[in-house]
Amino acid sequence: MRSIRFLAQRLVYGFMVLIGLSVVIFLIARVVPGDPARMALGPRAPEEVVQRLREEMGLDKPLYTQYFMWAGGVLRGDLGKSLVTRRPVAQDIQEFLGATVELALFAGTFMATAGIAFGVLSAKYNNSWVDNTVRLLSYLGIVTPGFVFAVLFLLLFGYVWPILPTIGRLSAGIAPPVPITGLMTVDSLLEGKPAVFWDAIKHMVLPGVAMSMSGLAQQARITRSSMIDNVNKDYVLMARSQGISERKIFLKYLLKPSLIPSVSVLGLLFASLFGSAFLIELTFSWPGISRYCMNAMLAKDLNAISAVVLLLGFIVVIVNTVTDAIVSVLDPRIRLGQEQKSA
Amino acid sequence: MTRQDLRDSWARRQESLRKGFYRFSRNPVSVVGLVVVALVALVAVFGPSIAPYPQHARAYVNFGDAKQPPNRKYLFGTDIIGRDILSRLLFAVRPAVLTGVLVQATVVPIGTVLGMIGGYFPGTWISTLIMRAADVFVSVPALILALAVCAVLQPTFTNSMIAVSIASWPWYGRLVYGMTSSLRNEYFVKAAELAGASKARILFREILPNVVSPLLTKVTLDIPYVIMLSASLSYVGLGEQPPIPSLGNMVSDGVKYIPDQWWIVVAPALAIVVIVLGFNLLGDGLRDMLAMEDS
Repeated sequence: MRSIRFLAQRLVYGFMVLIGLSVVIFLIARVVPGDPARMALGPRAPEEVVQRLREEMGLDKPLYTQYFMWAGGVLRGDLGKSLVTRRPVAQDIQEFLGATVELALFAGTFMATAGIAFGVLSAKYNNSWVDNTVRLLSYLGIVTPGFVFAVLFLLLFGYVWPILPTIGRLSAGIAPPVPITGLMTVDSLLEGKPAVFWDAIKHMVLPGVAMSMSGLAQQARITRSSMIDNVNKDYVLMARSQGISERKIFLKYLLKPSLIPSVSVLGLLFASLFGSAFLIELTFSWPGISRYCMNAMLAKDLNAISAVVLLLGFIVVIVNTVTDAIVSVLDPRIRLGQEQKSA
Repeated sequence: MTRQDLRDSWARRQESLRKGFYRFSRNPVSVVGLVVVALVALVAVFGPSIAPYPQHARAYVNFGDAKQPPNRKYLFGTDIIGRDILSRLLFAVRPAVLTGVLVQATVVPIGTVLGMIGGYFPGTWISTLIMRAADVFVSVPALILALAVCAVLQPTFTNSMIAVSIASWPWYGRLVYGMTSSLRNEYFVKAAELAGASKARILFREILPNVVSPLLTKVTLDIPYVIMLSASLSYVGLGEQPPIPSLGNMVSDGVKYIPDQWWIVVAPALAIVVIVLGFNLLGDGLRDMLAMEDS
């Protein structure tokens, strides 16, 4: 029950952050010099038509009225029309979101498992060549920007050893599966077409791994340092002196507390995945929401930009709340700390 | 406090600083970082002057010499329209380093002041406003926020710096807020309050000096992050516009021509990695030096 209260607090907090974010996005979009109605209709439209559109879009009303009109629309699911595709933005998002979510899930899973695995390995064989290699590689991982990895992978695995595809989600001859969830891997399995499934996976590898590199390196470092800290803790010594098996010590007394900072960071790293998605999707021509937003930004398609940034903020808030919930399960101190505060 | 006390405390400070430098110099990795950063700084300042073909950094075409791999005449090769990659690189380092330094120079004072105000006057509407604003900006991944800001403004170099600044200030705000909140209850602050010192004096004379050390570490470790962020922005086309070279736009140009003209992409990519690596090593060394001094 206390965890539910804690969760509810975090959700309310997240909701407030989202409202603040929507205000900021709205203000940024309105700061743009130029008349959105004129931009939508083009320079040759007659003035009365533009004026009518201005009234229709509510541009003549005061700023806060415009904000509430926009916010109301967003809550109803009306995110405006895209200047570029001339379709409702909500429809565009629906088409492209699946691709990015799939890629982010792939990259996130890879980043979490490989990062934690390397971190644990590095801590277990502390100061050996394994440890030093992992430390060096993770340092290089942090220091290299995401797009440099993308370009490197493109070069190495697209051309030098062309073993993996570098463009899009599926090879040219293969028909995409019926979009039930929007995730091609899941959809192709639901349709019972394993060949399509493998093709989709092969296409996800290069962009997904490139996206995860930076987060992977940070995850490995944090896991490693928290495990090393915990190895010297008193309770580990006591567990050993009581004769508890090494394996149990490792799992219960070392891994579980070490995962606390790891998992907290995982939320932030997952959020930053969506950031680096912009560059990765561009490089690998991945038809996701980031590439859509990128094109919207270059075309100054305000409705699309606001909608996507708001959506990404929403996703980040949800992810952080979930991460906090998981961490509170792992770390009783947080749960109990909350109780003391509310008591 | 006698004059002798003041002389003694100054002598102690000098001594611990000297010890810090000694520790720093013993650590090979930090020294490498310092050397790299010094080199990068030199290139940032003098690069355009020593570039062998400075006119290549502006509108320049020479199809006769185009697409040449690294050779004696063009050390890093030429690109698709015949411009020397090395010269363009030397020109491109300057905006990158400038971004790192200028953004920090803007963001750190603003973030620090806001954080101190937020932390010293908790519960007031202004403190809540500042911290909620910081939370909002933090909730969006920095790159996305910077892209969004840069996209709605004109894609110029100055605007990309503004965008990166907007995305970076909350981290300093929050850090200083946390530290100020905890420092507020220290005895020396309470003593100053009792003695009737003005709020401004307390903030700048009592709290700020204690905040400087972790702040300095963060600043040095953030410079490479800011450089990466601005390189990502210019990779996408929101920064220096062609033909002016910047590390990001050189990489995105080069991507189109791999694998045949691989040097076009590899040179600026390596440059980014080296610059960021150098600053990171330096930052880590400084952090170790300052951390050990505290303990």
